[in-house]
Amino acid sequence: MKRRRFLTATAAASVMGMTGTVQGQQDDTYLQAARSIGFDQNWQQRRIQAASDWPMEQRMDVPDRQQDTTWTGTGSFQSAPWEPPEGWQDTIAGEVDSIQILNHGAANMEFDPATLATHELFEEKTGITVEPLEIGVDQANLREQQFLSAQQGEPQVMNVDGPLTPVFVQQGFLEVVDPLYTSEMWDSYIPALRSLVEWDINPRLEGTHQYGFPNIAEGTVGNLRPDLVQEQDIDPSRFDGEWSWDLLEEMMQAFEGTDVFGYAYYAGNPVYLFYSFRQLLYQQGGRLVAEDGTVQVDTGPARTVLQKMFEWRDNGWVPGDVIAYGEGDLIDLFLAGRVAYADAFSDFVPRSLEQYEADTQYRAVQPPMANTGPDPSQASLVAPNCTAINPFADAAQKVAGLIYGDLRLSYPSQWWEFTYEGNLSFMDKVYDDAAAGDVVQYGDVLGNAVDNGVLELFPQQQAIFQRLTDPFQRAITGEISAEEATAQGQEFIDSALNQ
Amino acid sequence: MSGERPATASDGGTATASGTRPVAEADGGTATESGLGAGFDAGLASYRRRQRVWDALESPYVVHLVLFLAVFFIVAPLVWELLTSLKTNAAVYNLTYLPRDPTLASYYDALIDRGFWRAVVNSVIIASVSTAVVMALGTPAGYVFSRYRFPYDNAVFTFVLFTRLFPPIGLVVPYYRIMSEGGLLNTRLGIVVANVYLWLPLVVYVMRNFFITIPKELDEAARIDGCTKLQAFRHVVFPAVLPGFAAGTILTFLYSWREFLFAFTVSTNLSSMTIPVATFLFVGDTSIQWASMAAAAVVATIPSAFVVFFFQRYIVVGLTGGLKG
Amino acid sequence: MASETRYRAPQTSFGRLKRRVSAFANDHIRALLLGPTLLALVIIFVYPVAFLVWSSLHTTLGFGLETQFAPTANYQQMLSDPVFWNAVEKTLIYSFGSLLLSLSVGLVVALALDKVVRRRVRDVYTTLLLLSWAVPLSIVGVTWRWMFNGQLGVVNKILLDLGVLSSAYSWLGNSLSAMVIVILADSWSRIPFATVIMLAGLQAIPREQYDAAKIDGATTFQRFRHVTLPYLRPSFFVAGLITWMFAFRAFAIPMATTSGGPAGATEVLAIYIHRFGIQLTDYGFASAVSMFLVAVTLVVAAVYVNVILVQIQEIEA
Repeated sequence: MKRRRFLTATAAASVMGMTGTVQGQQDDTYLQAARSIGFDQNWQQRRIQAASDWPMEQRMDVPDRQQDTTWTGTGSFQSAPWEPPEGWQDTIAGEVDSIQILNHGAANMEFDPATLATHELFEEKTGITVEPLEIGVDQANLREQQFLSAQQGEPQVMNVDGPLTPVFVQQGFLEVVDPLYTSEMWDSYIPALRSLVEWDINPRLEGTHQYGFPNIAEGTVGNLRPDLVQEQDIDPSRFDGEWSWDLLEEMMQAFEGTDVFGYAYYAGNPVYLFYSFRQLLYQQGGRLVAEDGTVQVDTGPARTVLQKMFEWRDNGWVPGDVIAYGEGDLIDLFLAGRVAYADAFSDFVPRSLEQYEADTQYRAVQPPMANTGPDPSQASLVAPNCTAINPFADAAQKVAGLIYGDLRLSYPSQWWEFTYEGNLSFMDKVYDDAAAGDVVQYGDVLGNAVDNGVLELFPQQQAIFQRLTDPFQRAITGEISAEEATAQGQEFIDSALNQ
Repeated sequence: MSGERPATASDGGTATASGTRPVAEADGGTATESGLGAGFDAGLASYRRRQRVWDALESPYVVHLVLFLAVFFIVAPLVWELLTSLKTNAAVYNLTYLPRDPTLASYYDALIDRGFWRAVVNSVIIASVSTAVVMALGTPAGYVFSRYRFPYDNAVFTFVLFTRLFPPIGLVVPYYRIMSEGGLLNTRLGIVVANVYLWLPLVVYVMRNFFITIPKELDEAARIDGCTKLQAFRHVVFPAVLPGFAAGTILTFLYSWREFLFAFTVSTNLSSMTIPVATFLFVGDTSIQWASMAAAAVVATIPSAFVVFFFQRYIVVGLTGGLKG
Repeated sequence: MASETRYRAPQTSFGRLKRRVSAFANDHIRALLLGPTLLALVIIFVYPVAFLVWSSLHTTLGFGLETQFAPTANYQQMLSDPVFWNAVEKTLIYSFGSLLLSLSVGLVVALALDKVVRRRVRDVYTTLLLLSWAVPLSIVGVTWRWMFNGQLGVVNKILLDLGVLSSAYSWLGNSLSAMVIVILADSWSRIPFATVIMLAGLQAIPREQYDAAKIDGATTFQRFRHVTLPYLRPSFFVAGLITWMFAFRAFAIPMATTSGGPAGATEVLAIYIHRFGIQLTDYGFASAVSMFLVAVTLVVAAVYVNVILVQIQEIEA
């Protein structure tokens, strides 16, 4: 996993930080209570090594995906080895009855079963009720910006999209959670965690602090329909191991004239367009953040991405509709059997396995490397998001939120996310154990995704992606050339980030 | 074309254009039919020729064909939604026209599993309350505008109209901020307030027009009988305008039911979300489940459809009555 | 008005109070009946509008944090933004397209309905036609989006089955067809309204006029031109104005159908405002663009109203 440097606050951002209204800073009651609990004292024992008390058989007694709506009856839940740190009830957190957690997702946690498990475990062990507030990611980003800038104290805990995290930190919208971490901890977790939650760009607070704890890490994998590919006389085993865009284009061409497509990508809205864009960029070895820390989009690899996207769509090798594709569209297409290969986040895997038979009808594979570019590699995109605490909330509830954070950093929660929901875990040990027990289908592919995953975060990422969507989409439909699009994009980036 | 009423096309087309000709014969030979000169006959012939075209176009066949096509265009998309909603989400991928095994599973999925029923409840409550408030405020206001002159009355009325001309999208941002200050975000009350803003001016305008059709003599007769102005309004004039009132109520209810913009801005989750917003958010969820979404769409449309079925006349009266003057 | 009442209330203090209140109400009937409404309108309209104007004069630095008073900054930014002009262009195309389609179809249907003799039959048709008007706007968008889905939509399926198309066409992925479909969806929703208005206008035309024209030897078409059209003009204009106004500020339908895509091909002003004002929380800028929308709407409405008034006067003269 390559670590990236990220930008420190730029002039524009610091102006944003300086003006505005007073934030809930340095809430001493909260920090005092938090420190008195001593999260960092026996963290290793509580969060990680407790796993050895969890027999594999018991762990695997999980709810039925179709039928059950709760975890509480299952063996996995009842034997989960997590306890909140001792003495928490004597602090102000002991008075808390419930906390509200804003969760990114569908209306009823249907697609977030592991998160549900975590919530239920928390309720069980602490007696604090969890009120989940489910909002889809796009909407959630908006809402969070809105209620945080209005300084509302509810919800007390919330998922924060990766790219939005530095932005919120700069604004003072996230509460520090330093008590949860110590410097020795990082080795037990994937590097992405540290990149995600540790920042020194809060203009109101000196030094480096942590601002969140794990929620979900998603990484992209390749999703293949071996049976469809075979029908076109292409040997599915060519997709195992190393393969490149040559094979991808060969495949797309093979499906010409049929009503199945070889490939499809997202280009419909800023968030998803840039998943596909970055995927194709990283596969060439390209990057958005240059060595000197500036954001560069007017580069050869970036132009190649746009050119390819245009070409493939113009040839009819991908559906014309991709220009409007958001999250649901690609999955639709795949599950309808209309596309043979797609890059998508790892939670695609369990969904596909519900519909298709493993290995013959569906296979997770590593994505291809590019056939051009500075350093082609079979890279994946890692998109983590974290959970953070609302600084305007009640001190007691903030402490309760920290306890929730402790659970999130602990083995059971991480295990469930990986083995049940198909997300990537933040904790190294989970991968080792899953591989040993051969628990997760295509675990090796997922593990590779983590190893080859690229994470880049920079301030104003979302605003930049929003703005770049216009010219980029035009390049994809062929209205303007790729060069024009990247030039326009670079102009905007330069002015937004003062570089 | 025979018949006195141009509207009676039911006997149109087949009849010959014989009704108004002075000589009741089909075309004769070279002799002038009308005896009024060749020029006249030439004109008459050309009239008949052109008229035949129009007769054909006005025939009941064409009329009903046109109407059938129009109705087909209007209704077909709705029928397709209905058909889609009777499939399961997976069956949609099979791309058939009719559902192979019609099922209500998608309704169950949308309403119960996804909690859509809460959106239904919200819509009902919000639309009803909005309608009640708007009618309670707007009817007396319309009455005043129809009866009384007072300083600046034109200006005030124009102001009321002006609020209607203002594009709501412009007020979305201020509304959002005001509501978040006032703690009305994600509440039904917040959406009701927005609905009141949207429909109150319309109702004032419409009710005023209805009241104008009620002669002032009625008021005066009531006053002579010893009523106060208020009683005159309540007991005498108001009952006379009931049909208009009913029309206004129905219209307001329908408009509130289908409102999207403010509901979308104000609500964040199902505790206050209305049906149109919830249905829209189905799309682009973790996967688009078209059948469930179709089920939601059908559920959203059925109440409006019922209202239209039963109260069509009122709706027409409301829409057109409000535009006189 | 008469000061004696036939019934004298008893001279209790409550009775006196009641009479005083009643007399007060009587004298101030206008305030009593109209007051609450006006108050409500001031609160829910005037205040936000004032806020809007104020906001448009201040620049925002993301996330709703206002900074300085810069009265022209937002407007300048707006006028120099090519995306803005794209939105204006698209909005004009959209609103006039829908206007044209709604009015022409509405007129034809109204004419046809007018020819139907039996009231019951006419009612049935009207009911069926009103269905699309009653559908919530976002559902309209979603429905049309579903029908024209590139891979799974019914329109493609029909065309493929009929052999008209050889491969599925991406209706919503091509700028031209996307705009056409969005206009179709919008007018689908507005045609019933136009029809109802114009039908009422048609039915108000006195029959004697037709008879007189017929006696004068006019064909149907000439009767249409010289009798129907002049009488219909007010309804036509009213229907037109209202349809255009609503189409100009449309949000729900284009949003639900294409969300302004592909690549801004159907991004009307309302979506543009929403994007910058809500999604990017640039409140000041969004307010400025909203002011623009308001201004255009008002100007057009004023012009139109004047035109109609002139027309009506001509007819009645």
